[in-house]
Amino acid sequence: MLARTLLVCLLAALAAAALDHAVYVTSFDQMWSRIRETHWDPAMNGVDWDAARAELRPRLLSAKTRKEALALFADLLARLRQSHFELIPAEAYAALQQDAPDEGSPGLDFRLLDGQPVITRGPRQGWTIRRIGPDPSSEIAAKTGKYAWHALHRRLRGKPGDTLTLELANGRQTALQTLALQPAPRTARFGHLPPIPVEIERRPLPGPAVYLRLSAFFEPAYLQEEMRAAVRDARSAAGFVLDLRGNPGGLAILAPAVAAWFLDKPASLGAYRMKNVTLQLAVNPRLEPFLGKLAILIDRYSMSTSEFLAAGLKDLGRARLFGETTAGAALPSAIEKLPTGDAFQFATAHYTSASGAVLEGAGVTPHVAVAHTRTALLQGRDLALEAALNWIQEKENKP
Amino acid sequence: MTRTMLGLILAAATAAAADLPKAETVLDRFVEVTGGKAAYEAAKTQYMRGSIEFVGAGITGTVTTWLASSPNRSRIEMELAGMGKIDSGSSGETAWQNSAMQGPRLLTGNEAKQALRSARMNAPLAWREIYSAAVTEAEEEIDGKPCYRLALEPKDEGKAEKAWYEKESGLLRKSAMTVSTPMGDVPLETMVSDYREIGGGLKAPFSMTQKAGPQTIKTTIAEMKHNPEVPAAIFDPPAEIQKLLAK
Repeated sequence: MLARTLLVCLLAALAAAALDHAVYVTSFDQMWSRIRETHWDPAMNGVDWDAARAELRPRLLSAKTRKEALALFADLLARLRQSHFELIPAEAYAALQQDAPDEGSPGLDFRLLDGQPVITRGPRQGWTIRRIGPDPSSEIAAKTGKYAWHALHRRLRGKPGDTLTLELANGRQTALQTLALQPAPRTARFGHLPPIPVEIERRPLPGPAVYLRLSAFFEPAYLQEEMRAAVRDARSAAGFVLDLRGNPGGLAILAPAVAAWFLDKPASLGAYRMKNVTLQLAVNPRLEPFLGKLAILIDRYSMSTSEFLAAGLKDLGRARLFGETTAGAALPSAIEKLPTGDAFQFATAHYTSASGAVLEGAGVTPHVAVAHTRTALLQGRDLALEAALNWIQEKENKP
Repeated sequence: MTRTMLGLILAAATAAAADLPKAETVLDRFVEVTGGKAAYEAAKTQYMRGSIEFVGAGITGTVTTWLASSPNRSRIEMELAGMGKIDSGSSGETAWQNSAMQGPRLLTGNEAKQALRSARMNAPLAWREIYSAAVTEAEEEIDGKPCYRLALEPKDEGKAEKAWYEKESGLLRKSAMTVSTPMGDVPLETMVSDYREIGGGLKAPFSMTQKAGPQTIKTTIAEMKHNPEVPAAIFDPPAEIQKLLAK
């Protein structure tokens, strides 16, 4: 009994020793100070920042496990009730860094319709993904929550060359679909962000129009190369469809870089208000921009830089927006590593669109609200794209 | 009584200001301690390569610059991980930039004036041509070392600059200015250190830490060459810039 008690005490002592409080406190202080020195709002979005520190720091000193300590970090960030304040645990980093070189995609996309993942692009469009892999426990329950789509999206990725078997259903029958995972055309490595696959899809559409889908705003040289080719292809086209659905954002400066291909005069897509300075998302127009009809497709997963671009071009009267209201996660941010090995993302500016609209928490509203339906998808239709093409073919020229 | 106190305070302030050296003495001394007039005049070209770090953000890159005088020309190539190449240059009259992020553009207004000024060979020697007014304002400590704080008024644009020169060594330690960018005006503070011989009797700082908004950027020079052979073609703008110049 004594031996057992001693062992338990020893283990408890080791567990406590494993949590180096000094490192966690230093990390907490770094996070707290960095946010205080960079947050644009002197009132810290209504949060008593000193009181938050006074409350959480002593609790950190008595935290027994890493989990408890990280929960306090996350608590501090959550109190601001703003997007782009997130903790990225070291473990998640390690997993993402390890997987990244093997980042392969099955070449399909899906959206959650009534909580069910329904294929919106790729083979068997409109079918519901019921299971990923042969394991019966991999059945997908109805998904809800802020990051449900992102989490499921990640499960569809893996090592290029490997195969992924999905169990699909269309309401009448089920089928197994085996897909080979293809490498992403580019993998972005930027700062402390985990590696991010970047895909740009470019193709002609009836209309005639040019379609360009951007999966994320990274890899500037690749993006510009594809933009140049798309605008060249669009010279004799009636319209251009820019698909930002599911695009989580990226480098904010790439919003004006893309807008530059659609404007012939200098303009601003909106303003960043930082603590001591306000910056414009200034557009430097390209020599030979596309000045025909521009349709932008957006949805609830279009975030950040996607929102700056869509809102900016909407406010400038240059684009017509089709789809769903965007995520409303529209704050420019940075990511820093902490001495604990974790990282934290923190917003550094408040963004307002060219018309003065605040997108954070509100999102960008489309001109034409149209969302995927299972029935339309099963018929091979993309309702937002159809609406955009119909508008492009109309004689009316106003966005 | 209050009036008497005020008089005493003003008298003390005047006395303190009178103790400060004139700005021209401080600026000329900097030329002397970094090589002297003759050494600056003999400098016709310069090459530099180094590394850049966005402190805390995990973003690193490289920078290479070429400068030449008569006329003043510059070429700066920066390569930042995840952002790509930022290429910029000036011909003495025009300044340009080309990057994957912002595309090709000719600089205008204050941005162009600042770019042309910073590309000037032997700028310390030419301070009388660059600034219309220079005043020593105060003595302040920078990193624990007493420095003279100067206020400088550029001739070609209205944004005043500040510069701190170390009292003992005469070396520039810090500067502060407002940088004009297409996105707006950004306050920029620069700390310089690690002065080393670069050849021809000249000295230059090999370490520079800049603070712009929430970001700190550290540049470390790995190599600086005095009067190297620089092919004239280095200063030719790329094709996309030439199209803009021809427009």
